[in-house]
Amino acid sequence: MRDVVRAVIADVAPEELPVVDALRQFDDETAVSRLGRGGARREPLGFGLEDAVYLVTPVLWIALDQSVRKTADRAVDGFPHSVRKLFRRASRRRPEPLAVPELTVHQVADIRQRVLELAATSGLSPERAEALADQLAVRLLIPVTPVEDERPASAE
Amino acid sequence: MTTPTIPAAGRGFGAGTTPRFLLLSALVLITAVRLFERLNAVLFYAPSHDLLGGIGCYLAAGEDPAGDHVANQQALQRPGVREALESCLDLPGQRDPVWPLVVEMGLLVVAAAVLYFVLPLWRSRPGRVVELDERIDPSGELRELVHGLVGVAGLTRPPRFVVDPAARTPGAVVFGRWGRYTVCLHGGLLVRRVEDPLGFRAVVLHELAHLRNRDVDITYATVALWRVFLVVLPAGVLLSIAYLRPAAPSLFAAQNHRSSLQDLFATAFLVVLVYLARAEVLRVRELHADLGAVQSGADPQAWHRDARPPRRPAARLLRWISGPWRTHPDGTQRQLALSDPTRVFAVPRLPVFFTGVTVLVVVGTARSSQAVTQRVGIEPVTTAASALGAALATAVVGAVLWQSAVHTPATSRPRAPAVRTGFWFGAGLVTGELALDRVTDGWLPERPQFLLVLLLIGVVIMWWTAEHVDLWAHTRRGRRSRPAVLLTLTATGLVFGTWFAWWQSEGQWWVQGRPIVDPQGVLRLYDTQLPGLLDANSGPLALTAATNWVLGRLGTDQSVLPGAHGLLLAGALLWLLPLTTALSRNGTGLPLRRIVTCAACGGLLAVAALAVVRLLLHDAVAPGPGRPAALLLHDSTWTVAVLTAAAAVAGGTAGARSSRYRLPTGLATAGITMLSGQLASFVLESADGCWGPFDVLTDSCGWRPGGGWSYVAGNTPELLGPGIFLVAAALLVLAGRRERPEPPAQSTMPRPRLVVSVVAVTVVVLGAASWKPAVRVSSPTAGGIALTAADLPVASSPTIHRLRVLAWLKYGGQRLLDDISGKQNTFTVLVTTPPLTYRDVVDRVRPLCLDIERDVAAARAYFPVPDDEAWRDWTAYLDDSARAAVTCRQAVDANDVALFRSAGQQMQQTFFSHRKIYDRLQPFLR
Repeated sequence: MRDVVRAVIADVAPEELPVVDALRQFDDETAVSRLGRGGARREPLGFGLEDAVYLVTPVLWIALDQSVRKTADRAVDGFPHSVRKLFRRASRRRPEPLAVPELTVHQVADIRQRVLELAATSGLSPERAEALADQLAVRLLIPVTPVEDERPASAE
Repeated sequence: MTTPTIPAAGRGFGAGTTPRFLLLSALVLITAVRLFERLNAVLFYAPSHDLLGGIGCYLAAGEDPAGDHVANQQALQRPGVREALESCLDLPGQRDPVWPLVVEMGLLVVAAAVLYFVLPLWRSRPGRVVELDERIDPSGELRELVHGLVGVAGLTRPPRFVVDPAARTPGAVVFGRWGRYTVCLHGGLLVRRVEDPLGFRAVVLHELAHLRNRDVDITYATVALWRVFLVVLPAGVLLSIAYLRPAAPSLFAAQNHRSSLQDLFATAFLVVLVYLARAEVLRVRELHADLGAVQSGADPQAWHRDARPPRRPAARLLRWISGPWRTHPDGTQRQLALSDPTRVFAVPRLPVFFTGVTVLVVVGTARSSQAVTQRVGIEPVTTAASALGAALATAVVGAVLWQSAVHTPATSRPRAPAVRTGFWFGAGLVTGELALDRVTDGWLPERPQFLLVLLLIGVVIMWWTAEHVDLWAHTRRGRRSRPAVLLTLTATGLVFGTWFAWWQSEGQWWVQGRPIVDPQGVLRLYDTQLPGLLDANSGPLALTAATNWVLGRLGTDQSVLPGAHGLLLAGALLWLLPLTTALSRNGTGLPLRRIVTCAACGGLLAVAALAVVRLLLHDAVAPGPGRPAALLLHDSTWTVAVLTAAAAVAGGTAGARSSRYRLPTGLATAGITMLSGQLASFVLESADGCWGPFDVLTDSCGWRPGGGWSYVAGNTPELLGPGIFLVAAALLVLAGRRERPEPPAQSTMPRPRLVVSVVAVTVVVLGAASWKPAVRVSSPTAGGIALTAADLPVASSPTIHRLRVLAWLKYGGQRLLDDISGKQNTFTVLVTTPPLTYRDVVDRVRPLCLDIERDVAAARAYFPVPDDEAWRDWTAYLDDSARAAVTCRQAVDANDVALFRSAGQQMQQTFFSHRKIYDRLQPFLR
């Protein structure tokens, strides 16, 4: 899944690649919960700006994570996600990154819809949201090839 | 936009926020002490005490827990009572143990220290931030950039850089602990770098400026201390609420309903105060970090984006309300500060106000700490706490004033009028006093008008400091102003410390309703120094004595360290220091010519006023034994009064013509006027008798310089001490006057050095000469009467009265009574049981009599009985017993049988006085 995120971000919002690379060092759960919590608090000795400046990564990561989990929960063993989480906590194992299963066209359409919904609530412009959703759909439908570092020169 | 620059003199002194943090920490610590003491009273002290709950000794000493402070002070000030109280408190279980407090405070500090070290670890825990390494920055370009900025910012040791990818804001934060700092870049900042490299640079430089300004340690230390305190705080609040229950014991004033409510209010007030003060300090540090970043080369445009003043009124109101609580100034303020750095250094009202509140609450709370004052005594605690408080307050306000003065050009007006700074400081002091709940027995103080004195102390001292710092900063430019300003601030610390200590030990009692002066009592006291005064007691003599008494005790007190000479020194510094700026060659100092001219006119006024006083006194006192004494008192008191008034007029005239340094100009003029008045007074007194209707003490003409000199020297402490401060307060009328342009420069004063030296030397000589007369007798009571053991204030209720007698019996009275009467019984039995041999008398009776003597001495060292009639019977019994015992010993030593027989009779007589005191005490035991 992480490779999908990275590939889509590289296409849609390449300036957010360092953030994706940093987030990849967390496990999925941490990354999603931290992204879900939004921006930083105002803290002493911070710079004190409050506007969120990047929005694509959180929308993409959270929407994809939710959809993939839903699909996987239903497909694999019917165990609710929360129960598996408990087991994993007990075993204190670092979880494997989530993998994107084979998806039907319907499922991809659902995911696309979810991205658009989330984008609408998080203030992403409709044009960027469309581009993001489309790019994601393309990535999910076309068989994944391993993505090499595609960072454009401007970010270097 | 031009790059703002900070003049060299302003650098290195910092934002002056470190002392503010220290003051806040002192406030938190002292509040914790108070809270722990209250907790310990319940947890540790109460069970070890008996029914009287640990105040038994105080009850026996005649205190009344429900009565007023003054009466209790008076009870303790009776002769011998303090000593008796000391030995009573030395009984096991009487003094509150100090170890619980030491342990608790130790734990608090250790917990804060641990938190200080753990906080940075917690913030950089896995799952929160990631290292800035090749995984995020494969080309190494970003790392190279930030390390380059470390060099630009002038840091020798680079901090660690980490990334918080989930933070979507384009910011960064710095945290860490001593020597190990971390700059955490937000994910949003990395994203923005692509389109806005200048913004990225500005943010990183801002954080590095925090490091260079050494903000991290002090900020996080304060955060740690405050968080630990917030854990302890609920315990104190719960305790207050517990006492609000109707069933709570309400015998003691400290535990009643109202004081519990007030305690809750005081706690809430404190929390708000710390929050606001801390936020304010942090905002100032942000502005300084912005300036630092821009000086390191950050683009001021980077701050533009954030500067959007809210348009709707509701949003503006919201920002106005939430502003003081925020740790960051809003974008508009930051941008304004960058475009005009003098804004950052303008004297702000809030911190000055907070400093006033905090310093008063800290010192007041320290004084009320039982654990400390029980061991060290209240006077040393008052002096030490006042000195520390004054030092911190001076450091805080002085730093702000200096920064402001350095950054305001000599030609432009200071951004904040100096007197306004003083007003906010004084208002802070008054607010702190009210919040402290010390001057109130009800919800409001008994005589709130005397809070004006506290306001005046704050206003005058800080007004003077502001103008004086400004004066030096412009007389000596750049680094050369530093020693002078430090000297000024030392003077401020000394002056404020003196008055602050006076307020703690004397002034605040005025507000509480203690009588300031009892004229007749003062007359009786002065009669011991000026014999015959009471005989001449007529007309306004009592008024004169009262005026003299108040003037002599204003700002000084025998229980405060500085004393009259401390005040004299403080007063002299107020006008001699600014006067030396008149020697400055660039013409920016005080206008010496105008000062001397006005002072000369003031001197003439003083001569006229002295003449009027002498004319009035010539026939004021009828001939009689007390005439010389009464005249001397009248003469010296009214001389001081009219010289002060003349000085105020002269000072006001000179100050009103000054545009910027009104108070220093006015005070320097007043000081020189006083000196010329002293000269006139010396001539008039030395040649008393030659002036016809202006003679006062004598009718024979002659030159008596010795008498004149000692007269002048005797007036010096009042005149140059409280007198100068009264003039300063009077000069406040100038504060409201509209500013006028400085009059065109007059021709300069010839030989300015000589003038200033003569003035300074005269003050030193007068001060030294006044050393002896200044040591006055003063009694510890406001009434000026020496108390006797019988002067016990009446108890507020019969129950308290009974409790006091019971406590007296319990802590020694009963035992002494039983011991003495038991030995008297043994004596009688021995003596009346034949056969009584000579050996028996020497071996058994004599030691018994010695024992009785010793017991009586112990009984006399014990508290007086807290009941008037019982006290008379008790003294009579002790007198009888002592007489019998002494006779007995003398008889045995002299082998005098007749005397021994009379000793036996005397001893039997004690039976009656014993019966009397015993019967007297019986009703209390029922």
